[in-house]
Amino acid sequence: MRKRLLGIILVLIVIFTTILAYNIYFNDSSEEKTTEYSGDVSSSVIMDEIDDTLLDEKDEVEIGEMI
Amino acid sequence: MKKIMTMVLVLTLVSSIIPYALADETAPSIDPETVREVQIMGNSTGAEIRLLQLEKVVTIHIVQGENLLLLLANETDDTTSLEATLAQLELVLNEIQSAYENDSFSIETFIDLKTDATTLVTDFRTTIHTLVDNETAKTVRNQIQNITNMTIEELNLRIQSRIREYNNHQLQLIQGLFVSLNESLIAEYRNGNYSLGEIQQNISEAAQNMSTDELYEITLEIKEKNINRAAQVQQQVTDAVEGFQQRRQERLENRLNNIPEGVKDFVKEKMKQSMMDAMNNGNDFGGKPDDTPGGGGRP
Repeated sequence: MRKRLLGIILVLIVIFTTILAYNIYFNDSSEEKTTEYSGDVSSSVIMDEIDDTLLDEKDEVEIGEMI
Repeated sequence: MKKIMTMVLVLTLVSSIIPYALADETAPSIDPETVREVQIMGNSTGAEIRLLQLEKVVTIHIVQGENLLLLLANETDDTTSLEATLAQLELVLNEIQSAYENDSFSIETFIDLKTDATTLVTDFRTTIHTLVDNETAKTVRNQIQNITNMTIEELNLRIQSRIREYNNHQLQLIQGLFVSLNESLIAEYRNGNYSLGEIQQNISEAAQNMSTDELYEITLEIKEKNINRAAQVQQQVTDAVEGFQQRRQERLENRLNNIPEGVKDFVKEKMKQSMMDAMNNGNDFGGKPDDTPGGGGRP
């Protein structure tokens, strides 16, 4: 009985640790994205930001195809 | 005692997992393409552009639909459902034009009308694929691909002019940060003598001649503006999603009571039935279980 309880607790700890690790990993990734250029700014980084402010003349609204 | 301890431990762990499991399920969603499209709508010219583009794409689809009905006249007996869907799409087009005339360029209006148009286009496509085989569908798709008319061409010119106006405004803001950026070049772009690509090339060259400190400062400033703009737009998107179903019911009711006189009686009946079904079966995101506002249009 005691072994079974210990087993359940161990499994739950593994699940909890996995979820925690998953969340920490993805939080870190999103933080990296927002600060990726903070140490090394190149002209391509600034061009990416500028491109975000402009609108491509071929850009369209999509509502799917009729057939 | 040990059993109680174990129970407490299990409950603690389970309760800590539940929020993670539920987090994404309960959040309102909108399709990524629509989110991308509304990003420029924080600016009045940008909002005008998206409404004009929606008017254009719906006009194209109506013209394509009319041509499809002609092409399929000998292939299938009953096109009532298709005609009814097309007539509803025309009602949506009228609402887009009214919104434009009334200067109602909000993100909410765009999401509402785009969702309705997308749902109707999906319905049309689904119905047509039950009436013709894949080979016929492929043939007629090629035949209607490049259909155009005067209205569409006029819309193209208006959209292009507004896009240049929008980009000109954005370039003026950028020009304030780049001392070396040529003002006359921006004016040439505004007048249609230079392409956006040429302007971007000019900015890129100016950026390459700047020091790292200058680049860092300008990047931060532009990044900050972009983040603020995205946050404002996101708030409006969230607001639009919240009242979506209520507004959809009102729009359907309004259309139900305003079916044009010229519509054939049997098509009118089909339209009424279709709109009643949509009102009764609608959920939070536009009438179908897998719909999200603005989305679901891809075959």
